[in-house]
Amino acid sequence: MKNKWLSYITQQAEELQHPQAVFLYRKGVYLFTLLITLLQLPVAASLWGKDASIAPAIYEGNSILQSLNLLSHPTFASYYPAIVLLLILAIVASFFIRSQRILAILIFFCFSNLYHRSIPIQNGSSDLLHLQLFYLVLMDEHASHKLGKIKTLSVCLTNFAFIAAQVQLCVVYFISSYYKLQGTHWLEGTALHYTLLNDEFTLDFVQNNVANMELPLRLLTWSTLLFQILFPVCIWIKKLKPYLLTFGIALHALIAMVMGIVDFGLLMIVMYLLFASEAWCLTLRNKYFRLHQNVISIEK
Amino acid sequence: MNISTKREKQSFGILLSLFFLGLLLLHFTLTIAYQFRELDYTSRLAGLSKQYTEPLFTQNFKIFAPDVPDIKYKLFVRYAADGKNFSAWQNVGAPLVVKHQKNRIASSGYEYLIYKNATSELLRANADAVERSDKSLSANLAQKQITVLLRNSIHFYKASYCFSRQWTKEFPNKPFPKGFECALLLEKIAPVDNKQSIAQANYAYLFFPNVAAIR
Repeated sequence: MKNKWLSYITQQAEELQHPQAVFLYRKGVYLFTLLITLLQLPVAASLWGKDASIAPAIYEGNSILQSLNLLSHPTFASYYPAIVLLLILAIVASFFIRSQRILAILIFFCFSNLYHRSIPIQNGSSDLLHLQLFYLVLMDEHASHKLGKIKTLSVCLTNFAFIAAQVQLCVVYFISSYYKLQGTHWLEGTALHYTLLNDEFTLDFVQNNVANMELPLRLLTWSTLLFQILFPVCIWIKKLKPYLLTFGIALHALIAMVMGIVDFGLLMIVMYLLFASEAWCLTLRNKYFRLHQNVISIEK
Repeated sequence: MNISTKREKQSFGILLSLFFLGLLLLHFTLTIAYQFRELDYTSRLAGLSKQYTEPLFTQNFKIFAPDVPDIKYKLFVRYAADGKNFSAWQNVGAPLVVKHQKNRIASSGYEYLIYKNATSELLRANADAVERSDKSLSANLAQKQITVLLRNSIHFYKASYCFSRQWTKEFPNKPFPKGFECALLLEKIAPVDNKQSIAQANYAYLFFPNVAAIR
């Protein structure tokens, strides 16, 4: 047991454990960030501008943290288009430039500023995205090409940041299921009934035809709860992983389409890349490279 | 690479790994404690976790928990440029909800969130005012006191901030009206085993007069 642990710890410093997954995960998270930034563009002035409709929250003290909330200060508020433009450019550049660390810092800085300016309307998915962009700053899929102690440091940091991102996903399910068990709707199996009758989280067709189907909705409520309870433990068991991920993708796709919480649903599906096998990621990465080469040759 | 250099590199790697593992454990202990801080707000760990987590690692994953909302909130506003002749009540969120239902990936969802945030602030302001009001007063006096407490509430300020900014966006050339009022319609969703129709569900109103312009 002791040897197994020692070998695990040594491995984390010696070689990258998930280089293909880190590569794909980064692309997935950045694409998602680009999508939600573009979606917010028509209401950008109301969210981040000088005359935004949300009262700003000023953080006292730490200057590093204040630099992540520049738009809440009247001096910087009118520069929000520059932050948005920088974010979009940095994401686009990340698909063409090999060195990712500086771009990752830039993307985190820009997103963090937009996120903190509109924090009262942010939901769990923005919190999660903010955390993931932070972990991506620490990851470097090309760490194994470095030399000496820098390589050891970079490899180790990448591996642990990747573990942190995985654990974070488990924490989301753990916290969510723990609090659901404290209420009554989820245990009674009526949570989906109430949700689908709420105009905000439904579609006309679903509200009129599905929201009162008692048994199917109870079963779906309980299976959602069971999935969230099991995920943090069972995702580490190889045999169960594909079933959990398949159920999760279906569940989050439904959340996005029916309940309209598109950002949360999509982000959770992107985050499942953290648990994809290296072989699968390599196949996908090769396809990405072929597409990338085609784009570059068309540009030339 | 000779043996001593290799060993040195290996032990550097092990030390580094242990350091990052320690950091990882500390990070998740504090961020998880942050999410459970409402169990005991006064504990030292709760204070420490809040200090560590906010604002860099802020997180709230109590998604639809402990219960899903079983009340629908509808936000209505009306205004009078002269402070007397009010317009009809307008449900400001409804058109945005319909837009969002028609197109799930459109910005109307975010626009709706702005009004939803104002709704939450009004509810918090009302809850705070009711909590702080003197329970021994007569109904009439208590209502007057609640109105005063509402006007001084930070949550009411935040809601007013939203309304005045949205007004400027919609009518850039018109000053904020002298009279601006809002009301929340609270509609209880009928339980699953209840045969009563949605139209017969329970309703309640909360009224918020005197929304002032915030500059």
